[in-house]
Amino acid sequence: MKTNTAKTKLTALSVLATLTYCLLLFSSFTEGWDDFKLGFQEGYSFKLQTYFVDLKAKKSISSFPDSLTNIKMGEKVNIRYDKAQVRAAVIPVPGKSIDKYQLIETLISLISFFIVIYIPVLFFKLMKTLMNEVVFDKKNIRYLRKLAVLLIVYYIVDFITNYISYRINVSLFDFANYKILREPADMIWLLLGVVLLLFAEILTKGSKIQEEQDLTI
Amino acid sequence: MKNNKKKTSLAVLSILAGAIYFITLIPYFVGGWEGGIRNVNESCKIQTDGVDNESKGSRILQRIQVETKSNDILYSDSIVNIKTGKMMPVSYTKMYVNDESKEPNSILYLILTIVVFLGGLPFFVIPFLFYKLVLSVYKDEIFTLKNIRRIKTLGILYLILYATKFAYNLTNYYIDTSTIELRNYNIIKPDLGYNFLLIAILLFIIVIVMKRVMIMKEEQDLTV
Repeated sequence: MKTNTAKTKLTALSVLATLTYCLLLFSSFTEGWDDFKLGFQEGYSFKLQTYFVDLKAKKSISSFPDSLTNIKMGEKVNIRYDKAQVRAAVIPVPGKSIDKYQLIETLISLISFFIVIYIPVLFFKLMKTLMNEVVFDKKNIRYLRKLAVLLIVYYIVDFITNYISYRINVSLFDFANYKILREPADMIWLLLGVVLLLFAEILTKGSKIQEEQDLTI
Repeated sequence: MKNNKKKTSLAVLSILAGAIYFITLIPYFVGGWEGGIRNVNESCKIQTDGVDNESKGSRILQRIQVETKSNDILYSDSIVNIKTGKMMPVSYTKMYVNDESKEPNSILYLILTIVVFLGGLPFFVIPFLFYKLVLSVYKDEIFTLKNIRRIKTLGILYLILYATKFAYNLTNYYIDTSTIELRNYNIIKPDLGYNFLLIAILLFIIVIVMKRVMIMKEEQDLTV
């Protein structure tokens, strides 16, 4: 009876994890959909490009250099912009090493494309075996290790991409009231990667104990 | 020898997870620190200028996520690039709004305060639990009831973090939309942070797996 409950729990949790992962994927797709359409338009015209710029007020943290009308109150409110999409010509400024950065960025985009496709495949495979009650399997350990490594690589790729776009932005733009910042990479991927590596270690220990138990029987 | 290696790798991984958790906390503290300095600056300014805070109303500082209203106008603003001296089309996606109008709904602010306090609790307990886990792993006491309980608590805390982040973002969104409306921008619903939920579920799966290993180990010990 108790074993049955544990089995149901594991299946339910695997289904839940799969659903949450799908939600996570869906929300990143919907978030990035407009940017994807924009990129497609730009790739089609080859004239202009959008640069994603993180900003910070130059003067101090309490300065609001801009203002906008709040239609609700009919009053001007003080504004400080935090993130912006700047549209500029594709042709880089002469003498700047943008070509080199763009080449690295393209290579890294390919790696991240591979990771983005491969992670869900591994994740769904792992969840499927867990749903079928196959826990202490060598395949699972391999899936987990691969997933963890891919997540850590994804974090590194994200970090490098953000650094490159920061370098490109700094070499192309300078604004009167704002400093250009580097967007931080999301640490949650690194944390998730390490948690999965821990999980893989626990599974390894478990599979060894199971092997020994099977041999004893 | 091999056992020792495994033990060390588990301990190293636990320490790494703890360290990364601390680093993920930094942006929250930095943001909070800046906000704190800003509030102190503003209150000092009000005191020296002698502004009547009651008559002027409270200041609302909100970080809002926006998108352009019309699909045809992707870039509703412009900015001068000092490097080239040219105006460039720009659209903003995140901004801080400093509004001096009266607070719209004190209940929403009360909810926000409660949510912040509730969300603050896991931030302090999670590192403590990580530390306890690392210690027990280092002592080679991995498959124990205590550790299973710790991981379960970690999962529950991550669930609380997810719920509070969800509630915080939604409350903020309602406050923003009830006080601010901009001509060229729509305020958009914020990210609901599914990654915390995913971590929580994975931790619960780890708990079930650990329980199974513990039972197997107990049976093995009894056989021996």
